[in-house]
Amino acid sequence: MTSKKRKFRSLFVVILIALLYLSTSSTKVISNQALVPLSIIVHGKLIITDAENDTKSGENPTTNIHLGLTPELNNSIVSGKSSIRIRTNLSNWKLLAQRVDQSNNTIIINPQDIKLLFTTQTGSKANPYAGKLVSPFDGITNLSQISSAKSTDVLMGNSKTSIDKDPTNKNNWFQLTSTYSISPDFFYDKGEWNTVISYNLVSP
Amino acid sequence: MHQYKKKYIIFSFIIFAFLKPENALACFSITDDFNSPDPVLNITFNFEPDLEPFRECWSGALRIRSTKRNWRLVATRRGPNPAVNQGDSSDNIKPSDISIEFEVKGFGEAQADGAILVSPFSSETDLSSIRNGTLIISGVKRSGGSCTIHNPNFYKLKKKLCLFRDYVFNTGYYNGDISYILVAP
Repeated sequence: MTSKKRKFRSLFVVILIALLYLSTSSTKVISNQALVPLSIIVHGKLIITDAENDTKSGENPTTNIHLGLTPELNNSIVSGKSSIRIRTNLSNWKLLAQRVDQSNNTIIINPQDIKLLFTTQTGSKANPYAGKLVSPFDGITNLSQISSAKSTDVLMGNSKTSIDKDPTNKNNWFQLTSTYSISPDFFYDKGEWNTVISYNLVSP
Repeated sequence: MHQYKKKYIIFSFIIFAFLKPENALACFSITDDFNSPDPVLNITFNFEPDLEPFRECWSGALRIRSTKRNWRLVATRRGPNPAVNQGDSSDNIKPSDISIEFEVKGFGEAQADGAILVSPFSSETDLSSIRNGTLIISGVKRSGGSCTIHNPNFYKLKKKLCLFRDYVFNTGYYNGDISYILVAP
């Protein structure tokens, strides 16, 4: 074997060994992993909306009720109502009410003369037993039961209002309807009487 | 040319073809959108339930570079598990409550059809689809001739995770993670 041939063969062997090494070594990794830590924090929420405008813009509503009386012999009751919707993911909550009589009243109507009835209703994804009306509001009562001196418990909640997932938060409401009514008695003077009842949803 | 040289050259071609030199010099890398290697992308959903916006979403991206024609991206999920929370366990946030949507694009020399999202990740699905070593992308083409972290040839994997701000979920903390690994078959 000539020297030239020997050199060529040596070079070939070296290249072959290098290729074998490279092909059997694992694929070069510069960086091959990513980590995505996932953290979820769900806070508690209490919300009241207007049943007539059950959207974000209907939050913390003011609903006006106007009872216009003209005394009548047939004594037909005049009534008006408003409905609010409650949503919460807290398991312990309550609805408080407080009455504030207005100073611009020109006649005297006794809050006892105004009958008050609370009823509850729920959407298809809400728990009808999430909240319970507190006595005496679990039957027909009158407006004097809502104190003007301090907050009065109206509804006690012992579980979240949702009973199931709701794809749009449209049907997971717990609704409270309050109906106010008064007889058109000839006893009342002509004039106007106003009061404000504020409802507050809290979690102890 | 000498007869022995011809023999060596023919033999070299056969060996060369057999050894697949593209494998011999192959490499791959995974970075975040800022080209940081082995990235950690934190997702935090910190919310109260509400009427609107009803969905809360997080988006992030990874860059994949491979000089190999065959590569795979696999993922493994842990959780999310409740850490400190209250309520019935059926109302805890579950993997199926978190939607996930992937999108892959090729940049530079990386061709769009070189990285294929595997079903069910080819359309929106949820986190329960990711388990242990779940195949997310089947790579059939290289991204380019280099996998150094600053080269402009890469596949970009966008991820979007969303969670409904539903009133049904128990309050509290939930933790988990998803790890992605780029591997050669």
